[in-house]
Amino acid sequence: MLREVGQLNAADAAWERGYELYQELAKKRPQSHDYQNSLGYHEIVGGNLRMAENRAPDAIPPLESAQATFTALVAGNPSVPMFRTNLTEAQLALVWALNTAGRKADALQLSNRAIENARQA
Amino acid sequence: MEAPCARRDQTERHLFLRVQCREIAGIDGEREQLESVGSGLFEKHPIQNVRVDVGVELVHGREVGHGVRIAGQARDRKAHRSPEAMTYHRRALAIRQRLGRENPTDVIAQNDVARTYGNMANLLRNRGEATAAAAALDSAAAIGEALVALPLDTTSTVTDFTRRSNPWENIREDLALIHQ
Repeated sequence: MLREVGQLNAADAAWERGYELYQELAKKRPQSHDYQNSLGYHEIVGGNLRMAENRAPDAIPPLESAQATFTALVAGNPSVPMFRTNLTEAQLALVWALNTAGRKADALQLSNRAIENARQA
Repeated sequence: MEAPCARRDQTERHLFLRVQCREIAGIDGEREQLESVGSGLFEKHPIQNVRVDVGVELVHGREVGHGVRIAGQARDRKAHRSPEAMTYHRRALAIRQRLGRENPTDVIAQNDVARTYGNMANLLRNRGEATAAAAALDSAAAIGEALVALPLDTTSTVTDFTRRSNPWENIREDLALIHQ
């Protein structure tokens, strides 16, 4: 929202605060799929925010973390479509970030995995 | 005509379902109608799994606020830009603000106000009113930050009307979503 109204610094601060809270919740209930899902989705949002700020290299860590989170959720819950959808979203966002950051080979390799994952959804 | 699911046993849980049924059936969740339904149900069925110290009136009022919120959200979906949707959200906000003022130590009542600001922000955002939406989120965040600073019991279980039961977690989850 803050990004949409051009308040990028405030958007960064809001995202960081949200991240703290999701981490706190995930730490309190490490077995909660809901909190893991929310944390991973928030990391996608953070990656997209940094891309909007033309900070592709900074977008990669949260998107890699999101990918790891959703990979684990899909592995443990292969019948839940939402986790697979979110994994694909994380991977596609990461492809964009890798490509923009100049890591073309990594982006191509990951895009193939994202497509394969999406086909299984 | 009532939706079929509204004919289930009338428990406080089913008041929640009835509100949803009314929404599905396209029946306006007018405050007076909901208060009437709610009064009858709460007289017949003692509230379970909700704090006894806030009393039936608060719970009743909160459910009404929740019903009005649902009505507002139904309008969000049916008519994305309908001015009516915001009217219902404003009514829900007024109800929840009153409950919050009357029960200043009740974290759920305070958090309900933040939630309504969040709902209004979503609607404003969908209408393209980003600045107004950001202002609504600021209001929600200010309430949420005050609540997470409170020394709440991390293990308490108090069922709210989203059927979630741990205020310590609920207010953090809501605030995180606001910051998203």
